Amino acid sequence: MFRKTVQRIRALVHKSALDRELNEELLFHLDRETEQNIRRGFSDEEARRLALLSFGGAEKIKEECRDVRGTHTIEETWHDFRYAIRILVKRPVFTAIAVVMLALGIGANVAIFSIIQTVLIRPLPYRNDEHLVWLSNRNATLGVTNAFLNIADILDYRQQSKSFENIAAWETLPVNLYGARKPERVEGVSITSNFFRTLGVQPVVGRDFAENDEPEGSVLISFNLWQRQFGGDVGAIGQKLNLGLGASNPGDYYSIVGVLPADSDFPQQADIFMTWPITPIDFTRGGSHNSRTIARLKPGVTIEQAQSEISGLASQQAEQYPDTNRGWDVSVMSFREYLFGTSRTALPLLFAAVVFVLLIACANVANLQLVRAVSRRKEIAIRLALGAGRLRIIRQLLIESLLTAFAGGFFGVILAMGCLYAVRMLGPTAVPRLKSATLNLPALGFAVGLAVMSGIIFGLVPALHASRAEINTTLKDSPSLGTTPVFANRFRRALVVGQISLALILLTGAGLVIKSYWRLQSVDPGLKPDHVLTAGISLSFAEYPNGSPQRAILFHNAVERLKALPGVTSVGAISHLPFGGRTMKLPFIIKGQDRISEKNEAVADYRVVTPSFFETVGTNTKRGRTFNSGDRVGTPQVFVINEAFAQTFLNGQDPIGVRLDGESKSARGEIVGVVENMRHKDLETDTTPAFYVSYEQSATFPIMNFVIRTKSDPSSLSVAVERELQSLDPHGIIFNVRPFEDVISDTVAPRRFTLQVLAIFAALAVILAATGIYGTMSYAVAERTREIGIRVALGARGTDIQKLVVSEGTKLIVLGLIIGLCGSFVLTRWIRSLLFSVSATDPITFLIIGIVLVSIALIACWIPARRATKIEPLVALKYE
Amino acid sequence: MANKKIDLLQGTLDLLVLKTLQPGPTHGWDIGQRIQQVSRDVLIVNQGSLYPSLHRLEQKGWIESEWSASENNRRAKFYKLTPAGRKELSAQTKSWERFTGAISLILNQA
Repeated sequence: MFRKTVQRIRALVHKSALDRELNEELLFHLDRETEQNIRRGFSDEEARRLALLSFGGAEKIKEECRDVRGTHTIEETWHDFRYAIRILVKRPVFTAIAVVMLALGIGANVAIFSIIQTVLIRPLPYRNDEHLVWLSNRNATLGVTNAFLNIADILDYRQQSKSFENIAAWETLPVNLYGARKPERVEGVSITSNFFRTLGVQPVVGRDFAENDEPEGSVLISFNLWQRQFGGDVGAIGQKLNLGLGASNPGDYYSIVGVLPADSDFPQQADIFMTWPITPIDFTRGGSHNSRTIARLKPGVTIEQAQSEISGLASQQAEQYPDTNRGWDVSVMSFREYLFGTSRTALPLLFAAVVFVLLIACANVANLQLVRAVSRRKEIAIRLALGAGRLRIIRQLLIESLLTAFAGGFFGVILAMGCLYAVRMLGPTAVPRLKSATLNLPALGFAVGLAVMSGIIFGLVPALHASRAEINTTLKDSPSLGTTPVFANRFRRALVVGQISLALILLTGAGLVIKSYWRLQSVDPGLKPDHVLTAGISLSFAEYPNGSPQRAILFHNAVERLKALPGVTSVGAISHLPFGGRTMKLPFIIKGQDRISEKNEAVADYRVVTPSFFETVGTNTKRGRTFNSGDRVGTPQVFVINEAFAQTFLNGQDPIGVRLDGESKSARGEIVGVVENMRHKDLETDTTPAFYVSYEQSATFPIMNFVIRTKSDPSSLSVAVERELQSLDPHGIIFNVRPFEDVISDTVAPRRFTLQVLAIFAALAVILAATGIYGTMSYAVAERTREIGIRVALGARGTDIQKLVVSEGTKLIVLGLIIGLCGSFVLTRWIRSLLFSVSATDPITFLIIGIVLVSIALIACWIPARRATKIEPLVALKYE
Repeated sequence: MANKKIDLLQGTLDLLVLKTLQPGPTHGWDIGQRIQQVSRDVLIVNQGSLYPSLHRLEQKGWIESEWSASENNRRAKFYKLTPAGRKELSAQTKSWERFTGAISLILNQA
C-alpha cells in the first residue's frame, strides 16, 4: 500500500518525465514494427503506415498506461474539482439558493450545538462535578418540595452520614459594598467554611477560608468584583471593606482573604462570600428552612446510595424530634440537574428542532439537485458516450455537492457566530453560562461533519440516479417521451411529504410553546405593572441602624418626595418586590385553631408595605380594609392577608378579626383585611400565603422597594427618582430602578428565549418546506407543459388544469399532514415540562397549525397551477 | 491468414507476459513478437493491451524496467521478472493448468 502511494506520488511529481519515457517506449515499438515490415518487403512509407495501423490509438494506450500508474485518480479529481467550480459559478442562482438553504440549516445547528455544548456539556468548573449533589427538603404531608434545609439538620448529617465527603450550606444576603472604587449593592452569600472545598474551587489569589476558626470578618470575592472594584489588583487581598451590615456592630470591617477564579459562578452572580459562623442558636431545631445545601459524594458512592442513607437519617430525626422533623425528608439530586433545570429540556428540544430545519433544508437542496441532474441528463449522457466511467460521473456530481455543502457550511459558521453574538447580548441571564456561549471547536467539527454529511445525503441519490441514464434514450430524448424517470419523481414526492411532516411537527411544538407563553402572559398577576417604575433603596446601616425610628421617617419622606415629582400619581413601597426574586417567611399560629400542631407552626410570606402600596400597584382589596396612617407604633398591630392565606389557613372562616400569634413579636396581631393574590416568584408559580404589615408597625426593614405610578413612560422618571432617593440617604444604595414591566418580563425571559428561537426555527421550516413544495410543483408543471398544452387545445378550461395540478399537490400535502400529525402526537409529550396550562396534545393548537400549514402548502401549490393555466397550447406543443 | 486468431481471455495476457520474461529481460516489442511466434501466430498481442499490461505488472511489483541498449543498439526499455514476479508466475501457471485441466475434463467427456 505504502509502496503504491510512493509510486503514485513520484509518478505525479515526475509526470512529464514518465510521459516522455512512455513516448520513447512506444516510439521504439513503432520503429521496430516498421523495420520488420521493411524486411518483409514493404516500401518505407507503406511499412510505417502498416505499423501505425496495427498500433492503434497511441493516445489511448498512453491514457491507459497513465491510468495504471494511478496518477490518474488524483489528476481526475483535480479536474472534476475545477469542472465543479465552473459548473457552480455558471449557475449562480441555483448555487446561491442551495448555499443559502444549507447555510441557514447548518448555521442554526452550529449555534444551537455551541450553546448546548457551552451550557450543558462543557464540564463545570468544579472538580469532579459528577460527585456534587444538591440537597433539598420535602414534606409530603405539607406538600412541600425542593425546600431549603435547616442548619441543625445539616449539622446532624455532617456527623452521621457516611456517603458525603463534605456538606456545605449557604444563605443569600445582598449587601452594600463600601470601601472600594464605587459604593455598590452586590449579591452576597454567607457560606460555611467548607463551601469552596466542597465545590472543588480554589482561589486564584489569596486563600480559601480555613476549615475551622476562620475569623468572622473574612470574605472571599468573585473574580468579576475583583476586576470591577479593584481593577484586578493583587493588593486587594487584605483590603478592608464595609459591607453595611454592621447594625449590631457598626463600623465592622471585612477583609478580603481571597479571589475566586473567573469561571466559578455559583451561586450565580454572587460577588461576596462571607463566613457563616455557626452559633449555638443554630442548634435549636424547628428554625427556618433557609440553608441552601450542596454536598460532595465520597468517591464510589452513587446518588441512590446517598439518597437511601440520608432518608434513613431523616426518618431517625423525625422519630427523635417529632415536633420539628416529622414528615420531612431529604432529596438528593445531581448538581447538574439542579443547576440546569428546564434548560435540560429546552436546549435538546431546540436542538431537535434545528436538526429538523437542517433536514428540510437538505431535502430542498436534494430536490434542486435532482431537478438539475434530470435537466443535465444530456450532458451526462454525452460524457458517458465519450467514455467517462459511471464512477467518474458520480464522483464529479459528489464533488459538486460537497463543494456546495462546504460553502453552505462556511456561511453557516458565519451565521452561527452572528447568532451566538446575539444570544450573548440578548439571551436570558437566568440560563447559567449562556452568556459565555462561543463558537467552539467541537461545534466547528460538527459543522464540517454536517456539511459533508449533507453533501453526501443530497448529492448521492441524485448522482446515482443521473448516472443510470441510458445513453441512447437520453440522447434521443424527445420532449414528449422524455418525462422524468418514475424513480426521480417518487423520490422528490417523498421529499416533499417528509418536509411537510417535519415542518408540521416543528410548528406544533412551537405552537404549543407559544400558546403556553400566551397563557402565561394572560395570567392575572394581581397587580397592574404598566406605568409603574420600581426603585429599591438599601439604607446605610451606620446612619440607620436596626430598630432606628429614623428608617420609618425616611420611608415616609421618600413617599412624599416621590409623590411630589411631576407626572407621578401615586407612590408606595414594599420590602420584597413581587417578581423581585426575594422573599421572607415567618412562622405564626392562628389563635383558637389547634389543627396546626403546637410546635409545627404555619409559615407564610411576610411583607412590609406602606399604606399606599396596594393602591399604587393596582391590587384590589377583597375584604375589610388595608392600612392607613392610623396603623402605627402605639396602635394595635394589624395585618392584611392575601386570599391564598385565607384559603390555606382559615378554611372558610371569616378572616376579619382573626388573631395571629407566634414566637416572633412580628407575628402577633389581628387581621383587618384581605387583598387579591399577587404573584410573587414568577407568573407560573401559584401565589403562596402572605401577610402584610404596615411599615410603621414593624421593626422596619433596611430595604424598601418603591413603586411609582406615573402618567407617562415610567422610565422617563428614573433619573429623578434615583436622585431623590439618594439625597435622602447619601450613603444608601439605590438599585433596580426600572419599569415594573421589565422586572416581570425578566422572570419569563428563559421561556421567551426558547419561544423566540423555536418560533424562528418553525418559521424557517415552514418557509423551506413551502419552497420545496413550490419547487416540486413548478417542476411538475414545467414537465407537463406539453400535456397541458394538448389538454388546453382539446378544450380543457383553466380551472380543470388548476384542479389537475393542485390535486396532485394536495395528495402530497395530505400525506405529509397525516404523518406530521402522528409525529407531533408522539413527540410533543417530550416538551410537556416546557408547557404551561396547555396540554401536549392541545387539539386547538393542532387544528390551527394544521390549517396554517395546509394553507401555506396549498398556496405554494396553487402558484404553479395558475401558471399552468396560462400555458398557450401552441407554445406548449412546440416546447422543447 | 489461414489461422484463426483468438482473442486473449481477460487476465491471461499478464500470465503470458510473465512467462515470456522468464528466460531473461527483454523489451515490449520483443515480448509481443515472442508470444506471437511461440503460439504460431494464433495469439496476436495488441499493443493497446500490451503496454498497459506491462505498466500494470510493474505497478504491482512483479516486473521491473530498465533502459538499456537493444539488439540494434537503440535505447529501449527492458523489463525483467522480480522475485515476486517469479512467485506470481508459478502460482498463476498452476492455477491456469488446473483451470484448463478442468475445462478439458468436461469437454472430453464421452
